[in-house]
This record gives sequence, C-alpha cells and structure tokens, in this order.
Amino acid sequence: MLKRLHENSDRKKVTINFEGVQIEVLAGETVAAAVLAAETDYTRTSAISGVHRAPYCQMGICFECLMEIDGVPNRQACMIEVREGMKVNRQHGARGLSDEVSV
Amino acid sequence: MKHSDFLVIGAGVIGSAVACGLLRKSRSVTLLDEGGDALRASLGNFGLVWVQGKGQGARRYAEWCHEASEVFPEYAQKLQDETGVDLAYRKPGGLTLCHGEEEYQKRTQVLARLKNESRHGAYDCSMLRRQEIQQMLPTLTLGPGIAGGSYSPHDGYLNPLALLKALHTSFTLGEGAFCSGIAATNIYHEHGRFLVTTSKGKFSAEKIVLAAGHGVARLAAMVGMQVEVHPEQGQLMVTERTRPVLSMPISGIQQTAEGSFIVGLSKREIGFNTDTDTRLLKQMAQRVVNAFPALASLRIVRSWSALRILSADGLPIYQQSESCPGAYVVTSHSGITLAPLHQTLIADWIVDGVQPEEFESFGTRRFDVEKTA
Repeated sequence: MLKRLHENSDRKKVTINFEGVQIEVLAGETVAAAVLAAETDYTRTSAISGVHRAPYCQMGICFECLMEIDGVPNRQACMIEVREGMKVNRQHGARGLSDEVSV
Repeated sequence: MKHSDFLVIGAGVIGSAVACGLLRKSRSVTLLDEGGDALRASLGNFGLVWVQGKGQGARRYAEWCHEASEVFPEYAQKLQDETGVDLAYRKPGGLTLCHGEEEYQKRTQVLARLKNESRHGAYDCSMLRRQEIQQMLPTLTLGPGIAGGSYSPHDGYLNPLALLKALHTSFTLGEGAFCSGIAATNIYHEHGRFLVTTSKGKFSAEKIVLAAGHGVARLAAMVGMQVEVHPEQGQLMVTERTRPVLSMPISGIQQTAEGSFIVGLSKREIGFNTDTDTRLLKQMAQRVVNAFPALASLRIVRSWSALRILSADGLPIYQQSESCPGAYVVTSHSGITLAPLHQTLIADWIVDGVQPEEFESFGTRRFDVEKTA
C-alpha cells in the first residue's frame, strides 16, 4: 500500500516492537512512517466513536496518529523518531489516569 | 440597501441569542457577523453556566444568573431538538475548590455576604469540607492541600462552540437573515430609522441592537450613548483526552464530554492582547495538579487566550438610547449563562418595551450615580 521512496537505501536499520511483532525500520524515520510502511491498517481507535484511525497530516497538527509508545499513551507518532527496541502499540480509545478507580 | 424591522450588530453568543428571540416576534431580523478576525469571547470561553459566587454587592445580577440557570435545561433541550446540535449541556452542580484554610475562610465569607444580600436571606450554595468533596468526586483523588470548597446545585457547563453554532443554525432555520463577514462602520439615525454603513454595503432598520462585544462602545457613541467596556484577558489550556473521571465543573477546571480537560484560571488587564504567557500557564497547571495530582501526567495540547468584555462594575448593560430611541445596547460578561434570558426577556423588552423586574440595575444610569456619589 505505502512504500518508502528509497527502499534500498543504505541507511541504518533499527528494530521496533509493534503490537508484539518485531519490525525492521529505517533509523531517523518517525514512528508513524515506520508503522505505515509496515502495512498497518490502523494505529488507534477514536476516543468518541471507536472507529479505526491512522496517521493523517504527518506534521503534528491533526492528532490522528496517537499511539502508545514505550508505555506512554496518546503520543503523536508522527513527531517521534524510532529508536532501537522501542515498544509501540495502538492507542485504544481514551487513556486512563494513574489513580483511576473503576466504578 | 437591505431593510429589516430589526438589525442586530454582533453575532456572538449574545447577539445571536437576542436575534433568535426577536425572530419569535418578527419575520424581519438581520444579524451582522463581523468575521474570523473579530475578538470573539464567544469562541474562547470556558463554557460554564454558572451561578455561585456571582453578584456580590449586586443582588439583581445574582438573581439574574440564577433565573437563567433555572430555565437552562429546558432551553438547551429545545435548542438541541430544533437544530440537531449537541450542546453537551450538563447540570450536575459545580464546585469551587479552596486551596488551604485561608481560601476556605474567604469563600465562606463570600457565601455569607451573598446570603445576607439575597432577597429571602437564603443562598443555595454550601461550604463542604475536603472529605465531603472527595465523596462527590470518587474517581479522582484530591491533593493534600485542598481544605474544602463550595458546592452549588445550580451550576453546569456546555460546549460553547456548539451553543454558538446552534444559535446560528436556529436563526437561519427561523428565516433570519444571517450576514457574515460584514463589519459595521457607521450608524446614522434619520427620520426615525437607522442606517448602517458596513464593509459590504448599507443596511437599514426600524430598530438596531448593538451586541458587538468590544466594538460596542464605538457604535453606541454613534447613537448618542456613552458605554464603557474593557477587556480582561483569560488564558486557557486543553489537555489530551482521557476516560471520564471528573463528573462536575470546577471553577477553572472541567472535563469536556469528549474527555479533554480544560483549565482556565487567569485574569489579567493588559488591553487588547491575546498572547499567552508560559509563566502564567505554568502557575495554572500547578494549581490544577495541586487539586488533582493524577492530572500531572497529562499533556497539554493547546493554549489560547480570550478577552472578557467587562463593564466598570462587571454587570451586564441593557440600555435603550434616549436621544435615538430604537437603538439598544446589550453587552455582558456571562453571555453563555444568560443566553436563555437574552433570547426571551431581553428580546421582548426590545420588541415591546416590557422591562424585567428592577431593570434599572442594568442600565447606564447606574454609572452616573457612581460618578456623582
């Protein structure tokens, strides 16, 4: 679906963990670019309607690309560079809070 | 030239509510909306429908806010049914938190004063201690510095952007003439009619309503009225969304229906300046974290400021021109809270001349009294 312009570049590769699967991506690219290139169908579900969403503006404005990165929820995947060993998960709906009591 | 029975200048939440009210009595109402670069308090505000603490030393204003809050649920429902716009209006009551014992004592005095000044010696707002408040907010732990706070069952909140959209939709559905991107330049009173020149041609009307927010003083002077309003800047921040954990608006902190927290705790008199100030935003964020430590982990996604429109005493101004009868000024802080009254009682006053009770409390004569006293 989406592919890198320079697939065979000699840029360094790093491995990130996306939803429990190791994927090899290019150093220096954003998490959003990396997961899109890995043919991900969606990267979050909407906090309101629950529908599937994926990165859109790629420049930090639209907040469609929110993901859980290294345990931190609601991060803008298009604004964060991949790093070796990074753990990336889809953001499911709205996040909770640390002292949330379930009622 | 477009002629109508009523011409309302200013399509913020006040002008729009009045214009919708006028449409109940007349088929011929025009509403002028300046455009995107206007200083719109209607778009930048916090969205409270708020009663508690308002109107110290001004009993009629305290009552006026309370009357609006009483009719708000029915008003919101009707507007929502008519337009299909979800206002996200909720009325769970509201809290003002007191950080430390000194704030608690001060707040107690404010409520005692409002009670003394009230017509029946009663003011429906209670001081609660920390534990009682914690019981009302079971899903969010209060910080150790919170001594208590005041609770009023009359307070609520809504999405102010949705309210403005609903009013514009309602006005258009009612076949009012909504003219956007038009700034009024001059007003002339000729042969008992009003002629208004604008950035896009001329308009005329039998009666005109000036609800132009910060632009009201300039326009009022053209119909023989001296009206003074000044800007008071408020800064706001919004966080990322979370699951719903705060079920009630707190003076300065609320969680929207979509799950974002909005924080608005500042007041500065710095003229027509809409810059935000990081030091001030930091102080606001600190106060929020002091109230609810769990919110410290939230990212702030946007901040902005808006300019409150305040008269010298902070009360609304509702006044007809004496030298140019048929010209009316309607301006107020609390445009959200007072929307149902602006749409009914104030519109009726403009159409029929029927004045609500003790209406002189909101006229410009009160400023003359203060000046000579």
